Amino acid sequence: MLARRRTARQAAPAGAGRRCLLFRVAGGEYAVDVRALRRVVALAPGARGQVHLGEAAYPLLDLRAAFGLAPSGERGALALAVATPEGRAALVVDEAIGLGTLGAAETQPLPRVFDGVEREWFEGLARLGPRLVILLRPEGLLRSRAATPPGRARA
Amino acid sequence: MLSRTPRTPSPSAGSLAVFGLGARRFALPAACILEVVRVQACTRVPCPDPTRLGVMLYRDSIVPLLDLGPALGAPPRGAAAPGLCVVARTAWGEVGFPIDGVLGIQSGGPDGWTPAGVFSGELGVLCPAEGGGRHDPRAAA
Repeated sequence: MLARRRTARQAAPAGAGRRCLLFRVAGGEYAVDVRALRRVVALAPGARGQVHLGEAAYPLLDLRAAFGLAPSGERGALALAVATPEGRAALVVDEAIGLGTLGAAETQPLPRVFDGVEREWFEGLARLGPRLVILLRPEGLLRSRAATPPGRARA
Repeated sequence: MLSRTPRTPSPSAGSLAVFGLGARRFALPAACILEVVRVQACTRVPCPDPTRLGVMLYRDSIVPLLDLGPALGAPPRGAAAPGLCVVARTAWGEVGFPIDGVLGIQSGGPDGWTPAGVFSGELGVLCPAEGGGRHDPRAAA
């Protein structure tokens, strides 16, 4: 487990930046706010359906498929269990990079030319040194996409 | 390298800068052009619209890259990272357009040019009014 469970009440003070988990999908770097993150789950080979954390089920949502990216050829090794007001999902990613703090000054909304469903998927972009990281909006992603049909996976 | 004072484009602005993209030509008001740069790195932003290629860092700003190929009747560029790109000030903010070369500056206004495609007029992009904008890239090289 790479991140502890947090709640909105434990949010970082304003101006201190946002604590995010950085991860990789199809070569791109993404970040998700740790406040939405419940756990990082190692997936068994061929995992399908959903993962269970306690009483809660998290349907698998493969981000490569959701974003229209090339399939990896095999199921990603990790799933990020997220909970939002829109529901829960286990986001299948290629790799977790680690935790990072994204300062407000380095973060900006998506440029206006991105005017489609991607505005639901992503909050914006952040600079992390010379790299650009895409900030995921998990609640928007869940709103716009149906998660993988239920089955059961071994976490 | 072209460099101009940033300004919102206007089709009635004086000179046009003409660019080659594959076998097509397009133009932008020269006054809205910030620079022609070589793209060092492009970060792909997943998007159903294949003309939205991603973003790049340009002078400390995050600038989107837009493929004009389909608006000009050319095939989409695909996932390959662009080489050259013209960065322009548009009604949508700064935007980078991949190009294959700079063909020149045309003075005398936009006569003979028309907004290229549905969205491109908003961005100040023009294509030849007649003749489909074809050019021979070998001749421009």
